[in-house]
Amino acid sequence: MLKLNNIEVTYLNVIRVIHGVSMIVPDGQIVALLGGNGAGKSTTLKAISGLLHVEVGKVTDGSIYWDETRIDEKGAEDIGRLGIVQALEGRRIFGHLTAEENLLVGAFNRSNRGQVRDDMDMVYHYFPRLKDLRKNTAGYLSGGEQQMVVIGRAMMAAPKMMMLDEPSLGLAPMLVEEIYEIIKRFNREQKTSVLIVEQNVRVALSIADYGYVLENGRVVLDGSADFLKNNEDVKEFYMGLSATGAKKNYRELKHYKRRKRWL
Amino acid sequence: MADLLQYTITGITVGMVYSLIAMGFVLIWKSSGVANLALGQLVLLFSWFTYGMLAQTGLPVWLGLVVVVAFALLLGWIIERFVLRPLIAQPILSLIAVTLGMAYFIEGLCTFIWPWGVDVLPRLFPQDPIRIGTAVVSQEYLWAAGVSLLLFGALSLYFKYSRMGIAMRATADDQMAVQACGIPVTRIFSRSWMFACVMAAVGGILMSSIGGISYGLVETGMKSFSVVILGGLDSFLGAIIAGPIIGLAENLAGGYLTAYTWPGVKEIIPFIIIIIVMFIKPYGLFGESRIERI
Amino acid sequence: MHLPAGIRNYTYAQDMAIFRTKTQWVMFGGLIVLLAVVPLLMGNYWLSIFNIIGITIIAAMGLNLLTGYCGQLSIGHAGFIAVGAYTSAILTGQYGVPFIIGMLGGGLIAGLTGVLFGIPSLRVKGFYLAISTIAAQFIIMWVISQWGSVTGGYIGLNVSPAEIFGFQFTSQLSKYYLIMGICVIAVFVAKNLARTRQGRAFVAVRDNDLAAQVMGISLFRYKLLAFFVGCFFAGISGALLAHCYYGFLNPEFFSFKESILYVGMIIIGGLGTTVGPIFGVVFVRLLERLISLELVPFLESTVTALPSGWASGVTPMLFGLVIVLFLILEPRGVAHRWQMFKNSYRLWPFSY
Repeated sequence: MLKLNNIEVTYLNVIRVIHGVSMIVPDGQIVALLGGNGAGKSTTLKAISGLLHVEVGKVTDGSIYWDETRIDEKGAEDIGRLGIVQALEGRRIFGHLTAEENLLVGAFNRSNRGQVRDDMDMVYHYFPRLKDLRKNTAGYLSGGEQQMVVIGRAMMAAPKMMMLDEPSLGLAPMLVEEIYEIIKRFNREQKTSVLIVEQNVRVALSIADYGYVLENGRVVLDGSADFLKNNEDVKEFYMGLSATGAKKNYRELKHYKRRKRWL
Repeated sequence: MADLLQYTITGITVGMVYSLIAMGFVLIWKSSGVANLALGQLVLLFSWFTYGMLAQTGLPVWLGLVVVVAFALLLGWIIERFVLRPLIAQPILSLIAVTLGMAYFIEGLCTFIWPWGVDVLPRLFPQDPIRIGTAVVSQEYLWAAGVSLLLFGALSLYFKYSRMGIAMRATADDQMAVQACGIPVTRIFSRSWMFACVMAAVGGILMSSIGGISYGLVETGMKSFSVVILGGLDSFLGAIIAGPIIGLAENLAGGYLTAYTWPGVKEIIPFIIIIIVMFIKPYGLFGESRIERI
Repeated sequence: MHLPAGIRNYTYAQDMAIFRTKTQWVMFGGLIVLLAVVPLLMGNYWLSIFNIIGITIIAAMGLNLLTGYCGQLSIGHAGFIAVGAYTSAILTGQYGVPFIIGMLGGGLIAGLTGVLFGIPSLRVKGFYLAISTIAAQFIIMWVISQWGSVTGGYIGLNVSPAEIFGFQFTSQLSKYYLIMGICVIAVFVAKNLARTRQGRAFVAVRDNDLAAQVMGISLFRYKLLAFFVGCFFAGISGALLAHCYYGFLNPEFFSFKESILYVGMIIIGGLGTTVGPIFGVVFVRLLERLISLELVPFLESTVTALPSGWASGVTPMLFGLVIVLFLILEPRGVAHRWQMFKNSYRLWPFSY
């Protein structure tokens, strides 16, 4: 179980972007982290995976626990070894490597070659399309296939928790649903907990068990997926639907701040 | 005609050694973005160290060479761990300057331990020259080319199939994504320094068994810069191809231009090539030009 | 005592002035007097050390403008200094040109050479540029050592002492005044250049040349200007080196190692500040004298078990170590410490 305790994150020692976020990712569940641009979703993920220092950021207050271990001061590789793996935003594949080599990089920290083989088959089982493409240079794959490679690479680490940063970015709606379906199956079958950052609230909530809404570096709303799906504000501000299901017009949108119930 | 063949063969074979040394540079540059300007000094240091092992302590040749390789690995690790790791995320100016400081230090170290400055390695390769057509080539050149080819082969296998090799290539592509996979990039940096040092050591042994040990070896390392500039900083293929080109240009110029210009024109050709490349195609034959956005 | 802490300035000019209070003027005057009086009390040994420091400061100021302010790393500074030295020596020696003109000519030719080798900077930066300046260093030194009929090649070239209106600068003291005079002018020019439109353009180019270009700063003009100015300083310094320090020129004096040392000096001092290079030069040159004149002979005579000449490796080893340690421990150089000291001193006892 992952537990964030009121963390604050500061970049360059001056720019504080997370002002006290607390959340829990229970074992075996899918948790969605929602919010608009600049809400601090990606930063929260990086704080968990220990990648902040790359961007000269730091967890300046609060604590992050993975089971009983405190991880907010550990480096990325230690956290990776604990079984937390992150797939970065924006399909960061290794363009000059083949698809299969990309997957192998994901399994870097595992020494049992037999298991790695098995997991490779497992990834091909979830993404049958990759099996045909495994000798192709990853840089030339299509966007959807690249996203599959990235998620597959995260699966190859045999993680206890997988963090996905906007897996739907720039993909066609059909493909988004396909990928999300696979993530859900992976979660149910392998008992891996999943933390998804997503702007596409509808699809994220369709598979998530629980969700947190982030705004300006604070959790403004949290609840079960069903609760959030039916929450008027979430519907209105993140799904673009008014109470009646009709598209809102811009004139009303202008006043949205005033009408948000949680502010 | 005999001359031409002679120059061509020596040029290409020596050029392959340059390629070998240059590949060490490319490796470090690609994996960690550090420009290692101490390359020439490393070549000098390893040549002297080989001399120390073979001639001074009198180890058997095979054991001496094993010790040299072990020393190269160790030194590479030390350099990465204690000099470059504290400077991660510093501006490139500092990274360049720190390798310059290292260059200064290593050169002093060589003077410190081997102050007489010039010597020859014990023979490693058979002595009698070989006739190829009309040209007479001493065997060292062919051995140098052979060893370089062997190392190219071994390296490409390593990068293709080993777990670490694949991870090193991945780091060259996207360092942050590698970290997100839980791979310790610092280990990859230190691995690339270790390999680069071994390549510099092998290059140094080959060069000094051809021409003896002297301060000139530093310039051999410097010539490898012209190889990477011509080939493109981030391209192994570029380094392999550009090496023989530089070697060839240098030997042909030495053979045919000396009469028209000044002696020593051979030594300066690589630097002139650098300037020409800078003016015409600054990112080299195979380098990727850096795309920058504001 | 009035130092600029809690002083309210009423105009922009007041705020930007180098000397913002009377006390600072007095201290500046004191410094000048000190520079003028101190040599009278020193022997030739120390005078010659001061002379080389002064000459080196001029070149380091140039390199600092080029690298510290404009961000164009040059590892061929010794080569450009050599151009100035040889140009001036040849102009005065073979063409009978007066020293002042020879020196300016040396600066000019060095500056133009710098511009020539700086042209790649328009398309590349960072390591690529560093390499092309290394190439410049080697090409320049190769030409100088091979073109024996003019430069004397490896044999060397005798240089006449500096002469202005019939006065020959032959004693160390007179050389000192000449060098310090020019050095003060150079520091003054460098300090003020950094504060002008050009200086700000340099800094903009250093921080992000693309963004600078988009804001309308001509890269062509300012990068090449930086190369010209930087190498002009180098040329002047070279001319002084030839006429007032060595009195004799040899390619050995301008080796690649010397170029590295110049980069080391401005890094130790602190890039992109005016006092930085001065600190760096004083530190490096004093250390150099100390090691090569005191430590090395001492080591050579005490430890005789090692092969002769071993101790000459000590100097480069120590310098290499110092450069590396400075970069790791205090990458902003001595100047940063100095600034911190000044700030805390001015605000004392209320440090916040």
